[in-house]
Amino acid sequence: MALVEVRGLRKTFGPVVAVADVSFEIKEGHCTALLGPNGAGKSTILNILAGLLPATAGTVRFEGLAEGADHRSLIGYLPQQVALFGWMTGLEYVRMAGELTGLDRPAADLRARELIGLLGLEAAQNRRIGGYSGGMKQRIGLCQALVNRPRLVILDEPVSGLDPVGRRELLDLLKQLKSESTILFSTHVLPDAEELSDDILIVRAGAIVIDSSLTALRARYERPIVELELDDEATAGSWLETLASRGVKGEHRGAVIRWKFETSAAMRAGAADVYASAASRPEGVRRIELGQTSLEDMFLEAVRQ
Amino acid sequence: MKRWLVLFRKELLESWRTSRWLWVPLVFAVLGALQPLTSHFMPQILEAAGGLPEGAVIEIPPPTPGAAIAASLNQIGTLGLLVLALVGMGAIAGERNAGTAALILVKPVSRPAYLLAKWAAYNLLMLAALILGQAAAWYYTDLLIGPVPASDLVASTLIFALWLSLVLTILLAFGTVMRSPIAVAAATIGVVIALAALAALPGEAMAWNPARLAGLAALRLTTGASDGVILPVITAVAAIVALIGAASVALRLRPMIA
Ligand SMILES: Nc1ncnc2c1ncn2[C@@H]1O[C@H](COP(=O)(O)OP(=O)(O)O)[C@@H](O)[C@H]1O
Ligand SMILES: [Mg+2]
Repeated sequence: MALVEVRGLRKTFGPVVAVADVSFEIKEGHCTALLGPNGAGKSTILNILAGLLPATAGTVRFEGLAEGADHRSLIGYLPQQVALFGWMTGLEYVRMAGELTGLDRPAADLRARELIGLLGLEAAQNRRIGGYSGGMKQRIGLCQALVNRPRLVILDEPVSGLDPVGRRELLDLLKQLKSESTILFSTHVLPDAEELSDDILIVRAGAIVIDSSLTALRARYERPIVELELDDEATAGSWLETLASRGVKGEHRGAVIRWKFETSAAMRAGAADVYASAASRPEGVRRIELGQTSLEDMFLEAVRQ
Repeated sequence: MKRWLVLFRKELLESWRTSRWLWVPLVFAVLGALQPLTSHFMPQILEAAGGLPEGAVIEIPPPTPGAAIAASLNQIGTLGLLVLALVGMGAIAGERNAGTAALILVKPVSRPAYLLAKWAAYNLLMLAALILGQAAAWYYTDLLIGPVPASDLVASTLIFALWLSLVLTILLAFGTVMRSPIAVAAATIGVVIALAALAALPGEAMAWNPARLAGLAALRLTTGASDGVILPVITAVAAIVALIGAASVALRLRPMIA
């Protein structure tokens, strides 16, 4: 059964409906992405799951717990804006977080050092958090979320505020984390979701519009393609006829032509034609590429208002 | 209980690291010492100011030892109270705005534990500062003016501590329902001024008013009597308990996210 079952969740702030009748499940051991544009309601959903916001309506049920029971000891939570006590050291903070989850001091200390080591913060562990960089604070935030070995780790836009290097490092850390915990994280960009998650929930304007595994999404929306980039846009028109006899319609955007196929066998045959034309025709060709359509089109379609 | 202790230690460490444990007792000590010192040296101060015409004799009766300490207590009750309000105004509202409260309350800790840890830490700070201020006042009074019975000193400290404790409780309670720390301090001081103004009304109607405690602490020092202290002690304790309860409920009802 699912680790968490959310049914009919609704949250309004006065006249604003932030979350409207949302239901989904989080499967044990899976990494689930809550994907949607800014303002879609991701943080609101996660805050309700974390027990920080009361829902207007609906239920959240954890496996093995009564409906509405206090599940805070089962979760770890990293908010969108990590706010830590600047006057504390990193080690003190994580240790305190451990003690607050019920560990005694020696156990909390041990666990805090273990996590800080894992996240590569030993050198800074005895310095005040006030002097940390954004990436370091994010890591301490992750440490405090993991300190109780939670059954569900909730991460609100864990990589959004980071620079490219910090983002890469954290993504790699989360990939490691994936193998040992159930994760629910939010993001507004598709590549993060594609990189980390098993399941994807796409949220738009407070409602879930797509609830699927990444594999199923790929199977449903990904198609093999051949792409051709020309030197000169003007010749694109005549190139488009290349595969017309096979009934494959191409599209061109500027000097880039794309043919989309239903099966990879059809794609391979089409590609052979394109290669052959490229060898025999006089126009300059920059690249020929075989690949898959990205989920980007599907995502944009799903979240378009 | 154990988690309460973790939060209490966090509060103490915070007030230590942010130097509250230095400044608040220091202010109270200065306020305590200043009164006996100035009243003792007033003739010299006036002379040094050179304002007295030749031959003029001004008799300033030296205060009794009890009155000197009572005057110190009066200073602590205004300036000291203001310092406490400024120091404690962000205790909850500040943590809510910063988002640090959310990260604490997402752990399996109870709202009352979160609140009581702060309550205990701020009361401890207040008590230490008040004792230091009273000790400073007593030391200089004893040295320069005359002895004060220890029992009066202790009794007045306890009575006054209860009043300041109520003020701190009001401060924390406002913190659970207001967003701006400045508003929390202003609301608290407003309530204190209103209570004190009512307490100054003559007669029995205000016999229950906890703001009377400030005057009763001073009265104990000047006269050695503590008549009429029971009623305001009862209301103060009841108000503290009720406010903590109400604030716990408010913490549960109002989301603690920024
Ligand atoms: N405390 C609040 N008061 C009023 N409106 C809010 C509050 N929190 C969120 N909202 C509104 O709810 C919607 C969803 O917000 P949020 O959950 O933060 O979205 P996301 O995290 O997906 O960017 C937005 O329209 C936002 O303005
Ligand atoms: Mg958000």
